[in-house]
Amino acid sequence: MSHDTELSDLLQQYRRACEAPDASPNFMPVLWEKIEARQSERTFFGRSSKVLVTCALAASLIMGIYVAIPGNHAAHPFYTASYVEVLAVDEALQSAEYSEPVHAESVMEIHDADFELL
Amino acid sequence: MLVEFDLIKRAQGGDNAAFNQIVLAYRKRILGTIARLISRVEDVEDVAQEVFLRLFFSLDQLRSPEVFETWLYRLTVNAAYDYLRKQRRRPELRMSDLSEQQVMMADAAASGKFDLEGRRQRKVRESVSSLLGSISEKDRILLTLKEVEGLSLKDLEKIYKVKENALKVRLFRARQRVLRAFGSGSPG
Repeated sequence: MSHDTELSDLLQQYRRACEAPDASPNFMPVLWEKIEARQSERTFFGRSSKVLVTCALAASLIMGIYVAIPGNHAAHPFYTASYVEVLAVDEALQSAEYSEPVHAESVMEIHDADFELL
Repeated sequence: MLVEFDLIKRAQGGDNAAFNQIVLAYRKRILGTIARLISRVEDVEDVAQEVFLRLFFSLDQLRSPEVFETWLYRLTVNAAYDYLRKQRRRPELRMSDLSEQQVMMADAAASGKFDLEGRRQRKVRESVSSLLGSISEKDRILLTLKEVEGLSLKDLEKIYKVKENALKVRLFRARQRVLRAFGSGSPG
């Protein structure tokens, strides 16, 4: 007998050896338990995603309203001043830093301290 | 069809009693198919429950009740495939790994008596399972559906949504691989 025929015979024997087992009495109750567990899982994730979407929408809406109200921009000179004006203010601030007499005083203090040590 | 189209439609509409009736009608058939696909009696019921669980949550996607059985077969194939893939990662203890005395004790524990026919069947199951282990899980399932379940190429075409010729080629290659494993394992 060829291997091909032998294999076919073996597969037929296998079919007979694997008869459908009888379902246990717990089959249906366990199945419904699994279905309910999966359902509650899905409900939880469904609700969570709905809450997240709602929060995101509310945040977008609040931000949109905030940006749309013109009064809010007045509080920020950044939005009202032109680019040249902002540069001018920045320039003035920087030059003020360099002309502060703080450094001169501190140098003097150091010199005084040196004299005292001597 | 083991159930009326109306019952399927009712189950699709959320009627749990109708779904229960469908499960009861197809349970035996699905248990048998799974038993032949996975060849581990102790896990058959778990996999069958997974099939019906998937059926419950996907029933609303079924467009026509006419294709219900093909749909159910597809769910069965997918669940068996997932099981076999997981199983491959787990080390398996086979009866052939046990000593003769351990096998007798296991038999006695299982049936309360020394059952020769039961042992012979178990040996057949293990031989075929080992042979089918030489091919991929997908090929194993395809070959089992064709050669053991006796499904036609037309049925398989519907289940796999693949052209008949492609299935023939795949089946031929799978059988050749199993034959090689069979040839190297048997003395004749």
